[in-house]
Amino acid sequence: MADQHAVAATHEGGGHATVRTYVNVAILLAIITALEVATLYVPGIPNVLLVSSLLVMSAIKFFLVVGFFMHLRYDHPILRALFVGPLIIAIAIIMAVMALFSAFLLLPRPH
Amino acid sequence: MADHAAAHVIHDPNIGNTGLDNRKMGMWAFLGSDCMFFGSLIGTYLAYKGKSLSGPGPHDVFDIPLTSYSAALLLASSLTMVLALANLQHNRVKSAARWLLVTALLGLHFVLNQVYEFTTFVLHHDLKLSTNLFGSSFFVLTGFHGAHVTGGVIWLLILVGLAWRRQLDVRDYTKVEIAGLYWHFVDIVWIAIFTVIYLIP
Amino acid sequence: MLIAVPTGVKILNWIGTLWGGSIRFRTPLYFALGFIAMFTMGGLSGVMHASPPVDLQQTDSYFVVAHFHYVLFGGSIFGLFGGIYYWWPKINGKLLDERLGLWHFWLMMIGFNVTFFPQHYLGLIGMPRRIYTYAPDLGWNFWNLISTIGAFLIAVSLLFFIVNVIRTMRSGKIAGNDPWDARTLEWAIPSPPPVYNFARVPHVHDRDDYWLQKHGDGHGGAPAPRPAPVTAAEIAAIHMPSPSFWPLLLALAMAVMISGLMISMYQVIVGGLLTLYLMYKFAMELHRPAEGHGH
Repeated sequence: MADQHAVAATHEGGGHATVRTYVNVAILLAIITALEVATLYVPGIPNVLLVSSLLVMSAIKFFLVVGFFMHLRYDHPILRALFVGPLIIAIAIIMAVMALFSAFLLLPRPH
Repeated sequence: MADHAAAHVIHDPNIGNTGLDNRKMGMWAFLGSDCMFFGSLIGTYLAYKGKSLSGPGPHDVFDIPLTSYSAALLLASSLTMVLALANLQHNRVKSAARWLLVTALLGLHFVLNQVYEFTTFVLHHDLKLSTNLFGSSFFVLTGFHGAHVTGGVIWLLILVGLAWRRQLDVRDYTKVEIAGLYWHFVDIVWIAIFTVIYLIP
Repeated sequence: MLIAVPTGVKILNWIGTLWGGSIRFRTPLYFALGFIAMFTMGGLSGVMHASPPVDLQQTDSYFVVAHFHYVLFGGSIFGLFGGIYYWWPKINGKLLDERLGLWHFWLMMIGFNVTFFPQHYLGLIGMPRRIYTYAPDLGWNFWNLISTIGAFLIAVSLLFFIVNVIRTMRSGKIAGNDPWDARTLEWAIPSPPPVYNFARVPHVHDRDDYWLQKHGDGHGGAPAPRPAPVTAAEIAAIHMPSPSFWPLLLALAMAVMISGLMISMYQVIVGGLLTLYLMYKFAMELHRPAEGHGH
């Protein structure tokens, strides 16, 4: 009925990931998570390297889930805009609030 | 042209002028707004980080192994959610319902872990929402996230119940899809929280 | 200043909108002109606030009250009434009486100025804001009395409006779809509009499409073709959403839940559970409806 149109539409939306893809993405996510936790226990790692690698890894996980599990990679650009726009605003807000409260000065690891 | 398209889908009131399902657009718009909501709470946490005058701090209370396990639970639940959808697409309602149930149970496990963590903080470490800046910003942020997960679990269980009563099938694909979008969002918020709050020193 | 500069542009826009137009002095236009004049006055006193040395005297005094009432009442309220008088026939299918409308306008115009103009002076001679009474020997008594008289005059003007509404809704002239010989598309449909508004999405070829259909382009060009009348079959094909009381109940439950944050956590929980239950009912209303809906 009505949603069968929708289901057909998702097929037209430029491809559909297979179950195999999903499982692969999930395995990748698990590996990255394990790496994240492991990074924390690297002895003597400089703070800058720790923070940046954690941020990069979590960003990768973020976009893997959004792109594949949430199907945004295959979807209409409007949906991408509806999400990415506010996401950019959110990141800007976080940066601004941190700067406003001098959080960047205090990030280095205590003792 | 547009009129022909309009006439073609005139039977489906959910398809709007864009040709997209309004419910899907609505959910993405909501998730965008929820991004900003959690963004402001994360920003607040980071602004107050290291500035509590007294009381326990993050390093005194965090249990990284437990929270890593919770993170793994949510990531797994995202996979099971997607598998549920894949089954529903082929009208395999029973399998879809089973995967939805697993997703809900994984989410429930996550919430119970959070409850355990919060209880430990309050009872063993004397860290309450009103204790210090860390307590306030931490509990509000993770509390709202936990509330989002709880809402998602309820939603998923309702879908499971509908499927069991034979009131859910491939015709409801979009409804289950948007539940999935919400669920994945809750997962990626946890990815952000886990990294920024728990991992980054 | 951030507001004043663009507003200055807007004032010129409004004058430009009137310029060269076919001006008919009916009640909506009186309110529109009153709006421009009073809003400009409010804007001028606002710009005075922007100068720090001048603001040192004006701030927190009745001068500020005078300023924002000129922009909010002289501006927004007059504008609102202009809109009300203009679109009333479209919304309600009845014309408002012109004479009563003009009585309303003039009494309100005079009353408004009598109320708020003296407050500029009161502010400058030292009367502060946000007080409910003051000592009798400060020299403020007279102009406050004048201001109060003006306020009652405004109330009287509103009586004219209310009487206008009651009388015309009961036995006023029927408006028809286009009582003002207007320019825009809403006047092409009946008054009041049917629940679906437009039976057919209009094809718009020009900014003043409806006007062109009626009168042509004024350069000797023939009027634009009127669209064919709407058929019964087209109206039958329109699908309107069915009414539902769930959204209202859900909104009330959310209000109970949130207001509980100020009152009691039990209220939050009860309201929250009610909210969840009503969300479920709302969502299920159209899930598997009786056959024949095609959802």
